Parts: sequence; C-alpha cells; structure tokens
Amino acid sequence: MKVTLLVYGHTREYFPGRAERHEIELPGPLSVEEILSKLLKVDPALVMAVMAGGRRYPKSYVPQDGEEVVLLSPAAGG
Amino acid sequence: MLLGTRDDLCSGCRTCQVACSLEVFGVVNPKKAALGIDALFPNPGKYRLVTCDQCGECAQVCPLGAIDQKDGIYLIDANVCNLCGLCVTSCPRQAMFTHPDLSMPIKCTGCGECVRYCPRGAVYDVHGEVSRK
Amino acid sequence: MKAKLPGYAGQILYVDLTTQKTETRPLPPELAREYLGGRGFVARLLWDEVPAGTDPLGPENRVVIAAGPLSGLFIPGAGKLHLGTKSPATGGYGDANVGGHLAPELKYAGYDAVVIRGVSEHPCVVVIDDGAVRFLDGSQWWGQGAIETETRLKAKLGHDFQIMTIGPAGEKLVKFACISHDFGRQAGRTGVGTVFGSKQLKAIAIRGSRDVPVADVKGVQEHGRKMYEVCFSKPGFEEWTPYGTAGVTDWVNEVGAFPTRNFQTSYFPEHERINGQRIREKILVTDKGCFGCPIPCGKYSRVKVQRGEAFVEGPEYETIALIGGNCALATIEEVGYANYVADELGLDTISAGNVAAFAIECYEKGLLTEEQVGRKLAWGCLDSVVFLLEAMAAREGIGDLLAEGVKTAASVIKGGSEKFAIHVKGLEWSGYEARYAPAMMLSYMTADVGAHHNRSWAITYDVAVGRETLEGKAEKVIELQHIRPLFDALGLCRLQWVEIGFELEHYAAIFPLVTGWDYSWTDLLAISERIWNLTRSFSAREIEGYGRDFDYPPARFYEEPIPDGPAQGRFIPKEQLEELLDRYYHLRGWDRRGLPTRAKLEKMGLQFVLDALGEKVS
Repeated sequence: MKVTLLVYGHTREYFPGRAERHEIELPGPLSVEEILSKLLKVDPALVMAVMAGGRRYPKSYVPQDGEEVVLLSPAAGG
Repeated sequence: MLLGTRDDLCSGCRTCQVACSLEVFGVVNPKKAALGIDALFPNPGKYRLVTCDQCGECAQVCPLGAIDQKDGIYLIDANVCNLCGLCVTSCPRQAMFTHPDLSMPIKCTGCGECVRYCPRGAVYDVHGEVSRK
Repeated sequence: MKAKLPGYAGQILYVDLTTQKTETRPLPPELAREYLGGRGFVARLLWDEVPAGTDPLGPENRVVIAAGPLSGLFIPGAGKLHLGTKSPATGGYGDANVGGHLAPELKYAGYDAVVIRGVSEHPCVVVIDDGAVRFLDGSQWWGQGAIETETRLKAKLGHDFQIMTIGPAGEKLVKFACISHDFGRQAGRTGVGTVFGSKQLKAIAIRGSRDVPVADVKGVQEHGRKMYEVCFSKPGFEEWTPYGTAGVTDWVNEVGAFPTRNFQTSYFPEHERINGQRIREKILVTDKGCFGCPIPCGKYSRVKVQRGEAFVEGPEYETIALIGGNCALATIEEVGYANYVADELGLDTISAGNVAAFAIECYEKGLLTEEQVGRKLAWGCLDSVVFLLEAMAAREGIGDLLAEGVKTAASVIKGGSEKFAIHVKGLEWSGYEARYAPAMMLSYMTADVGAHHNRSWAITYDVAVGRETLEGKAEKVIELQHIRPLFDALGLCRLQWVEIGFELEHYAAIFPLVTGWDYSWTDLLAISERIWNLTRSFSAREIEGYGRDFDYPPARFYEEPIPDGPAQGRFIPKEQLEELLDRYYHLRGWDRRGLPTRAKLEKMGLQFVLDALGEKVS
C-alpha cells in the first residue's frame, strides 16, 4: 500500500531532501508516527498533528491506502 | 462576474483592497479600492464587506449620463463625469467611494482581482467565472 | 513623479510632547540603505537620539515607531510595525512589534517612522492625519482601559483611524505595560507602553490616503500575486488557520517545554482544556487577520465565567502558556477572561503571567504572606490571577512591587526567590521552557531584548538534531537571529514562513522590485547582523558592566531538574551554559565578555559605535 505525506512549515528542512511531498510504499498499515520514525527516520516529535480528509488527528492516525496526509509543523507564534 | 460576499469568512486583512488598487489604478493604496470592509469591534466582533452588486442605481441618478452598462457591469466615463457625487450618496450599498487624488468616484469594474486574491473566499463571483487563484 | 526612495513614504515625523510641536524631515537615504526600516530604524534612531545614561522614564528617552519598506504593500503579512525605546524593564535596548493595520496606515499617511520625545504637561493624544499632525487633550481617556479607549477614539475621530493606546498600567508606569491596537493586538514587550505613560501619551491615531511608491509597480503586482498564490497552494494552508498560534499548545506539552506553575515543571496535564481546538469549539467569534495576511491567526472570542463575560482576541499561544499553564488556569474560558483583563489594563500577558506565577510561588513557599498580599493566592485560581493583574496595574499593595517585574521583586522579597524569578536581563521569559532544549535556552539567553522567543525560535532544531547535544546549537541560534529579526526590519510578519513554509526566496525576489536596490538575501542578512551588533552595543553603552553576566537564565534552569513530564530529570548544568556562550560569542566575533570587538564593529560598518564605546571595546 502507498500513502502520501505532505509536510509544510519550517520543519520541512529536517525531512529527507527537504521535500514537501513524500510518497511512501508501506508493507502494511502503519501509524503516521511509525512511518516517520521507521521509514523516514524523522523524529515524530517534529510533527504537531496530522490532517486527513479535512479533519485533524493525532500522530497515531493510521492512513488508508492511497491517502494523502498533511503533517502540521509546530508553530512559533504568539 | 458579479460579486457576492460571505461576511463570516472575512478576516479584515484588506488584501482585496490592495489587489483592487493595483489592478484598477496601478498603485499600492487600499484607499483607492472599489470595495470596503466595515470592522464591527469590539462588539459584536464581525466584519461586513461592502461591494457593488451592479444594481445600476448610480446610472439612474447620474445627471450627466456618465455611467453606462456593458456586459452587466456599470462603468463611469471619465470624460463625462464631473464628480458631483450624487451616485456616491445614492448607492444603496454605499459601495462607491471617493479619493482626494481622483477626479471621479471609485466604482467596481468587475475585474475580479479581489476574488482571485481574497485568501478566504469571502468575496466571490456569484456567476462562478472567476475564482480564487 | 519618480519617488526618491521607492518602497518608502520618504519622511520621518519628529514629535516633541513637551513643546507640542512637530517636525517632518526627509528620510535619509543612507539610513534606509544601511538599516532597511522597522527594527533597523528603531535601533539606529535610538542610538542617535537617546543621550547615553538617559532615564528610561525621563523626557530625554525616545520612542521610535517604524514601518518597513515592505509594509503596506501587496505582500503576505505586510503589516508589522516596530516600536522601540530604552527599556524601563531592562535599562537596555528594548523593542516590541505589533501587527494589525498600523504600519500600512503610517506609510499611507506619509511617514516611515515617528520619533517621540519629551513629556506632555497633561495627558495627550497625537493624531496623524495624512501629514497633518495635531494634539488632543487626552484627559477624558486617561484612566480608561485600552479597548475602551480605542472604541471611544474611533467613535470620535472616525472608524478609518488606526489607533495605538495604553491602558491604566502604562499610566501607572508598570514596567511591562504594553501598547494595544485593533481590539486585542499588542506591542507587548519591554515596557514600550510604560514609556508612553511616562510621557503622558495616551494614544496615537493614524489615518492616511497616499499611495506607497514602488520601483516597479507591474513587477510588484505580478510577484505579489505569485506570493499569494504560493501561500494558497501550500499543503495545510487551510489547516493551520483554524487554531492559530494556540494550535501548538499540545505539541509544546508533548516535548516537555510548557511553562507550568512558574516554570516549576514543563508539562501541564490539563493542556488539552486550554488549546487551540478548545478556542475553535467553545469560544470563537471570528478569525481576525492583520493587514495582508492569508492565514489569520487572530481568534476573536467571547468568554463567559462566573466573574463576567467578555470579548477578547485570543488567547494567543503565549497567553495560554504564561497565564494558562504558568498560573495553572485549566479552562480556556478562564484563560480568555484573564487575557481580557490584562488587555484592558494594558499589561503584557507574557510578563504579567510570569509576575503572577512568581507571586503565587512566593506565596506557596511562605515568602509572601496573606497579610502582605491581602488575600490567599492559589494555582489554578482565576480570582487570584485577576486580583494580581489588577493590583499590578493599579500599583496597589503588593502590586506596587510586582509592577517592577520579577527581577526587582525577587531582589526585595529575597529568600531564594531570585532562583525562580524567570527572566533574562530583567525581561520575563516567554512560552518555551528550555531545560531540555539547549538551542532554545541559548536563544533566550542571548536575545537582545531579554528572554523573548521571537529572535530565535530553535526548539524544533533541538528536537531534530538531538536534545542533549550542544553541537551546532550556537550556529543555528545565530542563523535564526539574523533571519527572524530581518522580518522586523522589512516590516513583515514571519508566520507565513514559519507556519506554512512560505519560502524566503520570495521575499528576496520582491525586495528589488519594491526598492529598486539590487540587494540579495545575503545582503539583507548582513544588515540584520549589523542591527544585532548595534542593539547589543546600545545596551553596553547604557548598562554598566553589560555583557556575559546578563546572558544567564535563572538558577532554576541550571540547578533544578524538571520534576515530571516528558522532560523529567532534565536541566542544563552551568558549565554547559558557559560552553554555549563561549561558542556563541566566538562565532559572533565578540570577546569572552560578550561584547563586540573592535574588528567586528569595523566590519559591520559601526565605526560610530566604536567611537562611543571607546575603552569598553577590546
């Protein structure tokens, strides 16, 4: 199965190739947290939350085959 | 092109007005925009967009006949207008404006630039011909 | 007519409150070329205008207010105004910035900057109306809340005026009084509002109708369009906005960096009750954006608690952290209500939250008694927090001491309270506990104004490269200390870059189209570094012995391990702080005392600084 992770915000610089879009082949269903740590070798703590299908989920969200998931960078405002 | 508004989406950022002034007058100056934003704060905490709906009242009242309709858009003929201001005070939506630099009122030309650059889709084209970029 | 300085309004307004006279001078082209605008103008004009050794609350102190060359243009986030002064909180360089619509309006009125000097004989309001400047007797508004004052001034002058005003806290010279604008946005930090109060300046109202000249108007339109289109296309453009800055609350807890109970710990178990989702679901009235912003972070809300009901913009993340977690308020309604109280009084919520939490901890430890305070104080108690905020703003009872900030309060209360007076240089710490984040810790230690996050926000770097290691941390902090304040010099908000990954190259591309100057991004960063060396030098000029000793966090952060939560057991020992500072100074070309060297100042084009500092420089 395949999922697409879209990363935006400043933490993109810590992702492979600093890319915004990561299409990933999965051996089976994995949570976003697992995809990050096991496959992309990115500390999941760099992601604040995820968005899928217009809804916000925690990083334990398990994407479906073909799904696009947006990764939210931690913000620094106030 | 006909402007419609969704006031609840407006955040008061005025991007529409800056985009308008650049497209219509070739200057950076939101005070030369053909649409307005009323900010109703602190209570009730809302924005209200003021836009032209091309009703034609301005053309009706113009004593010089300086305003004509073309493809549903009312435009002012700069060569005829003498800035008497009757159209501005008669506009039922208060959607015509004046500026000290300009020798005629500011009126929506239906260019759609505000629709293309409103980040929130608060101003949109009722006919669906123009949409946000 | 071709503008002399495209991108600029081309004039500086000098306002003397003592004589109630104004003078308009042309903007010197070399000032623009060497310092850009905003923070750069603030730094240079303060250096030139404020005599060395000036009392921050005396007539000779200045407030410099400046827009940037990109403010008010067709550029995402082009609405930031910068204000600076010799800070009554720190005695050194102080500044603050505010979004909303002030910076654009100032340029439309024909000014890039305003320099305020003197002291008015009676409370006054300055009205800048398209080049015509007048003074109003401000007595009728003196004593009124900031939001109330703005409401009344708009009703009197017209709703198309943009207002900046102080509340009662500024009038009473509370050291962390802020300036308020647009019903809930603040130039919060370093006591700029205090200096307004000392000058009997209640408010400034601005209205302008002029074009802002640009070098290549077609180019600006086309590139501006592209900038917005890129923002619209960013993944998550739609997703970040609903929660604004408050959206980060859960994450800061997850990484163990959330100020809790006066920074005793870094995890607040109730954080999900005061986060961005709660704002959206429970209290939001409308999203509220600053000028030109595609991702409005302002969350205008309505809260209802037992004490009453109120409209409030926010709470922003910083307020959630310092008034929420740090005072242990556990509902979004309570945080919002305390936020409203602070806004109306004109208190910076970051410093005021710190001060309230400091007082509660002193009370908890028996260093302040019920008799001294006038009531019981407790964590998580809205009445305690509101009582403290009102006491500070009125300088009543214990509030008179607390109004001086935690550094001074601790020096009077003693009993070990200095260790948990959470500040650097006299400025209270903002919303990131840094005992398990060395780059973030160094950011706070070395920020020019004191413990503020917006010069370098490096905590994700700590997470990405390893939170124990010190390697590369000083390098990253310096890199960020040049990028982030550059936005303040250009008159822009940085959140489009930080939050949705809008690339820096777009700013570099539009700058020459606006100004006609062939500056690269590297050139702009070099100016940012010049400004950084100048603000450091300003503080060195004003404060005896300034340097390394002013760059340490409170002892809590290098002596006490975090007691619980995800960062349990962590702290950064003093020798590691020394290592970070040594590396930082070395990379900056500063000596071990933390002062710019002769060679560095010369390289930065700051010969006049060298002349003034003389023997202080090695």
